[in-house]
Amino acid sequence: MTRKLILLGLVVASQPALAGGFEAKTSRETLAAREVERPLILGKGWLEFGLGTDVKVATGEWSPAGEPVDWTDTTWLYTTESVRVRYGITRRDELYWDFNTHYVKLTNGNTDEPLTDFGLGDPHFGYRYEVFRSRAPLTSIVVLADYKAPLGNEAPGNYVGGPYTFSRVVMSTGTPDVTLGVRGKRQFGPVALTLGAAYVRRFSGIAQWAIETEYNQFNARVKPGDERVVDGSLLVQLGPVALDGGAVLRTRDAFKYGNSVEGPQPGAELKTWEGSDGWSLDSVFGLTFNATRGVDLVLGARVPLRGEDLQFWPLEDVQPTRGNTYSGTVEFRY
Amino acid sequence: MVRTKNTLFAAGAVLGVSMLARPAEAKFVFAYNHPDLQWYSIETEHFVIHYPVSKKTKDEGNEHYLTTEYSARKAAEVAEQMWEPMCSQFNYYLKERIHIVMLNQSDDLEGFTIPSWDWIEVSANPGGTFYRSRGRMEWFSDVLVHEFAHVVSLKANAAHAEGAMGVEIGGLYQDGIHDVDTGAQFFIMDGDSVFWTEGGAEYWSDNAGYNWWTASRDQNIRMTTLQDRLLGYNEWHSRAGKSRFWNDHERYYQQGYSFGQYLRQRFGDQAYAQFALEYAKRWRPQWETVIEDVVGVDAETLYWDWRNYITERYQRQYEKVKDRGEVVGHEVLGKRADWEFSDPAARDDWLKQPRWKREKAQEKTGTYQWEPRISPDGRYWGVLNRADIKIHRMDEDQMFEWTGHAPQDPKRADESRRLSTHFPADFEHGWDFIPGRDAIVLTGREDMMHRGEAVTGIRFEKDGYNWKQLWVFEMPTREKKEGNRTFETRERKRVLKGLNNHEVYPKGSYHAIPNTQRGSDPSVSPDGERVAYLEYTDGTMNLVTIKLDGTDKKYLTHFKSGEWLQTPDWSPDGKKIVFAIFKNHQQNLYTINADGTDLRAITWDHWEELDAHWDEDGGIYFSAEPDGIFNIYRYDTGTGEVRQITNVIGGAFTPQISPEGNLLYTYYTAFGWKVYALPKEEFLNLPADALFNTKDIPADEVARTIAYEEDLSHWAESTKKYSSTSLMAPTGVPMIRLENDSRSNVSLSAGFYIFLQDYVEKHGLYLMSLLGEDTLLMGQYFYQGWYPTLLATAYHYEVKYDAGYILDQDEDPNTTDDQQIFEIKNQQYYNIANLGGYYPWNADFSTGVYVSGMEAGFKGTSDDRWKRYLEEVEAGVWGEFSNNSWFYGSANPWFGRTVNLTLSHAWSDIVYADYGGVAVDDGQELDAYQYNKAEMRWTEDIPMPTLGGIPVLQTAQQKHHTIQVDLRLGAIDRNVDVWDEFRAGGQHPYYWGSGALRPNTQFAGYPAYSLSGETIGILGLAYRFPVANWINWKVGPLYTTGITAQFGGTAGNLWSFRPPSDPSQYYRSRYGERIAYDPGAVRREIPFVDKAYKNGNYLLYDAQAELRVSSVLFNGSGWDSFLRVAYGFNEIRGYGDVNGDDLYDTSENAYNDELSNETEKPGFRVYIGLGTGW
Repeated sequence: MTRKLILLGLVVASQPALAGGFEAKTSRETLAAREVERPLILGKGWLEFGLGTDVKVATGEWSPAGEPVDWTDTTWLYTTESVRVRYGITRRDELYWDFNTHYVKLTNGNTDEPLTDFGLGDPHFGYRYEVFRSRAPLTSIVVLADYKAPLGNEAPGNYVGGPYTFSRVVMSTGTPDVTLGVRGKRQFGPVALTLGAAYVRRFSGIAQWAIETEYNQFNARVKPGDERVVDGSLLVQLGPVALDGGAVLRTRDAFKYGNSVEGPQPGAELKTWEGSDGWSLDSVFGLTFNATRGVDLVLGARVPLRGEDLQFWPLEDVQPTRGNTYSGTVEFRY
Repeated sequence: MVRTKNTLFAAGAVLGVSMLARPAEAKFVFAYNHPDLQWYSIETEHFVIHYPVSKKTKDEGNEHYLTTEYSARKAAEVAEQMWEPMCSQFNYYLKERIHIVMLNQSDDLEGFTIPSWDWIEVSANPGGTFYRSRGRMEWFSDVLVHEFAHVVSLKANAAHAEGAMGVEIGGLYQDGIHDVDTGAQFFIMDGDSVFWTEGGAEYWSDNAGYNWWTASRDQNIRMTTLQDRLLGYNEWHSRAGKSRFWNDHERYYQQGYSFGQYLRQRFGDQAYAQFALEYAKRWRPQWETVIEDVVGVDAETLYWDWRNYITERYQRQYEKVKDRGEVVGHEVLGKRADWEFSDPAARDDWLKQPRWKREKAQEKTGTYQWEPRISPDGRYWGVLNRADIKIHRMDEDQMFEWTGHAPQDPKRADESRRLSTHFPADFEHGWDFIPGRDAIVLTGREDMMHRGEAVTGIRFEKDGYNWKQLWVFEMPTREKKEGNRTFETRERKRVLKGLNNHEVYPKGSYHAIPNTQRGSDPSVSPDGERVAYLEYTDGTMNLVTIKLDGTDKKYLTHFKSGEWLQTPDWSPDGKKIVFAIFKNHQQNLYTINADGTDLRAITWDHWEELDAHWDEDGGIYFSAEPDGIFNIYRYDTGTGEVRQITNVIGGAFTPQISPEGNLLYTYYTAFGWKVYALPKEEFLNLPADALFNTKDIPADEVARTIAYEEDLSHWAESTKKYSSTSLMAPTGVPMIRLENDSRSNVSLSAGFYIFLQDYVEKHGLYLMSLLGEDTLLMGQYFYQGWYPTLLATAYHYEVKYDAGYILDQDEDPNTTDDQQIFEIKNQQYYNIANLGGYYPWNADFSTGVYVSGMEAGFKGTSDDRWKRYLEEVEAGVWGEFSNNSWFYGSANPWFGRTVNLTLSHAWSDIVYADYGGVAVDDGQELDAYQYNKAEMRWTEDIPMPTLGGIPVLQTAQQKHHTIQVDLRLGAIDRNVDVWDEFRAGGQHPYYWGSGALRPNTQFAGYPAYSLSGETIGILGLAYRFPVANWINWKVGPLYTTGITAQFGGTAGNLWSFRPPSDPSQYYRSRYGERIAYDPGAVRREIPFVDKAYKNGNYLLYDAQAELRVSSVLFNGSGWDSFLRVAYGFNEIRGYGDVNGDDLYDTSENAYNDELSNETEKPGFRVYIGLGTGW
């Protein structure tokens, strides 16, 4: 087998000039070498693959009163493995797709064995349009639209016997979201300031994890609360390395549930889960290493600072737990 | 657990496995695979040229030996020479290398590029009509440079990144309550105007020095202008604008080219190219707005100014012709044409007709009538008309166009009609009478008279080659009796062969001349023994003679360097041959001795002399354009004197002189190439020596020119065997789709499809990914290196869907207070893997085999994992005959036949654990079973019959009124689970793609997939007609060209197996389904005799009406829309949510069977498609 692989390698290597279709196109836009000079869209003709992972370790939550609550004997490990594909469609806009999987481990004193699961998460896809750009120094302002599709596993599996007997971990709300936002980046020499604001409209839908209790075989309609997100960060470029730090403030409306009604708004008469609204303030830190124009390494950390929540379900997309998140991504560009 | 028996039948489920056995992308240029060819690649600085050479030589018995080495090397040379001049016009110097695939497998012209794939395909053989349209042959410049101009201009113009051809956005909302399905689809792409794309490619080629404005191009635009056929402002942006009339496709090129020259005069050389750079700055819905941004004048103002300018110019030219005395004769019609009116009333009658009618009438007399010939004995004349040689008796004194009066002798006229005949031929390139015999030699195709069609109507092609070849056809007569009279006639007997009424050519009356493959332009020697013709090989032609039996082949010339020859003709004494040679950018007439010696030029100038005819009177008649217009001239072989015979404003070609000295020739008009006759008394007959150099011919220069061979051997060093790692740039299309599976469950999914293949199309990969709540993943690999194309396809589809249930406490549907609605969300998936192969026997007929594995299953709230419901393996064969599939996407396919037949055998196993691994269907418990399935779909589009010539029907036929008959028959040989049964019901084209529903009329009055059974028999009838077919509306980026209406209806049903109705013969499952104690008690319903128990009807009927609007967006993105209203006359039952209200009625079954309580009442269904096609 080894010999075959080597031979195959030789064959490919002997024909590099003929693989012309993969040569860089003349029409591809120039891309700045350094993060501080890069706009908020990728640029026409560029295709980017980002392979990344987030690891969140939570041992507590925010209380409704805004106090940190530590769980006594529970640890929640929630990882996200993601592939992000970005494509610069024209000089002004880009499309992107995020494909996610999650590995989850719930260690709890009430169970003999930790509950672990691995499955698809919800993909996102979105569009960014650059409404303004100036160069040297860079100013880039984009508006964006993002859609989260409820693809991930939403079936709890065997649930008879209560929440500790679930055989699967739910990784999707089972409902879609649409985010509309605006982001701006302004360069000041080796420093860049980025600010963003977004509104997340979360639609209602029938969810497999929401089960009515009369017959125990039908599902309920749920609506996670709409969210508003503002964030800001400052980036400093030091040679090929860019360091950034900032904060993210997120506020969330209350969760709703119930049955569908006739008409164009089937979620119009859902009941509000009192106290389930909340907010969080996290600090974020990052390091970007611009290895080449085609390869970046991005490391990040997210540390919760303050928050207010009502934790009733370990579903990160509805009621996030309290814990640090560490991330690493390698971005390849062609 | 509520049992929801297969209530969801998503689009993926009905994607027939035989469809998966066909490639998602067919070959772009090759119709056939050619495993007999070895490909090579020449690498240059900016290009890679791939070319084929036969693996087996001629000496090894390969009768289709070919090499493309010279053509590829020449292409490499030209490509490198043109690279800089082309790129510099746009200041756009390509970093990527462009791959040029030289084709030589066929004798047809190809020139094709997909710029974003860095890919050009060009045929080494320019094939048929090219030189008639564009003039003297420099095919590498005219085609290769043209295509490269596209590459540079469209890359420079691309507002979208090259990796994405556009973005597809669409959605379909199916309102099951109101029975309205509404779909919309947009393909957002770059939308350059066609006049600029094609005309620009000509113009930039000219600027680059490899192309020029020939007299043939000028002829096209001159006559188009003078005869009022210029494409209008709205029409010239899009190919949909006006490409249904003769030569409109060529007008896009020449009008755009002419417009470029006009802009050059007003705004300088660079203006045309600047449009590209301006557009690339930002995408805009109307490309033409860049014109004003670049030159400061809006596009429409410029169009009209250009139009006025060329009109004035050509009118002045026409005045000059008339001042000298126009000598043109008349079209051979046997009468004066309506447009040759001679009084005001006739003129008014003519002009009051709408423009399209006048254009149609003028085209109707023939559009491609070329190469008239007169037999040496003067008894026949004939013409090649669209691949059909028509032979007529010729009595010169009866010829209206020569005599000026109608035929006087009705007996001879009748005899002439009976003795006229016709023969199949290639589209052009010559034919000739055989002196002393009632026979002709013509340029045909190898497979032209294939025997395979005798049984099936289907011609089989075994190797993909169908080269030109010379044929001999006799013109035998037979006796035919009509009443008491017996006639001599050449009318052939007709028999029904296969599906068509065919003429029978008498045995032994025709044969291909052996050893004449790739031969054309035959001319028979005066003694009738030999034929002189032109033989093509590797971008070059040579003059050859051969005996009529294919022996004693002699090459009179030995060219190897791209020389192009034209129309040989023998001298009356049979000692010499006259012909034209195009070499070193110059085309002149030459003579050569019949033994190949003494090649000498008889003209030596820069005009394009062609179509030489050596007449008995010692003159060589030919066509040339020394004053910019092709006219007929006579060269006196004795004195070298030249006299002008015609003086036309169009163009005069292919002269033939009758025994009486009259002229028959081809005349170019804006309505086609016509046969014209000119009596000798009207010949212009003016000296034209000053225009031609016939007497002072520099023999040394001629000899040097003829002997010159360009040294291209240096390209050998950079040639290597082709490698399939030579992959094209992958291209994808991002997609966003919005769909619903219930009233409130609307899901958005997004993804893309990607296409990747190597440059000579041996290996291809098609990937599709749509992720969202509903997810579709598909991958298809196809291998085209062997005769059948091999395909491997994998397909994953999963969907989440909501369903509502009414729980009725008292099980009485009439009391509603105790009813509660609950909802449930489930998931369903399909995995399909398919291996298949298919082979196109010819352009109309393909067959294939496949083996396919499928599994499908569910996942509910309490399921840890997916649960498989069904496992199935299916193997089958299919065949498809379609002679009109090419225009099935059009609003009105007005003729043709499409027949699909699929035969399969399947092994199915129900494995759903929740049901104990069995399913109940039609009173029978099913576990693992096998079945055979046969299905046929036959669609016939019939031009409106005239019923013996009823005027109103004749008008309807002329306007393309069409009757469509659609028959679908199928049977499964046992009771199967409903998943395996046939399905029927109305369809929206959004799921399938424009034109994919062939046709779209079947049971549109019933919900999609609502009908099922093991036997299917449905007959659809429709009547379709254009309401307005040339409406030319342009509103912003939307251009609408036509509206078509269709009325029709469907009758038929699906029949199944019926459980026993006697309670003693069955028991009920825990879900209430009947199960027969004895499976033999389950009876198959007899089609058309039994009432189908699943839908409660003997036959179902519907009626429907549809309006289709043909449009394009952004000049090139098809945006065909429709509104269809259908009425289903029958109330139907079935499984699950029959009435489409998203609620499953689970109360006690009122019918005491396992079907739903719900019924779909008779009523209207509405389908709306905006940009979805039909």
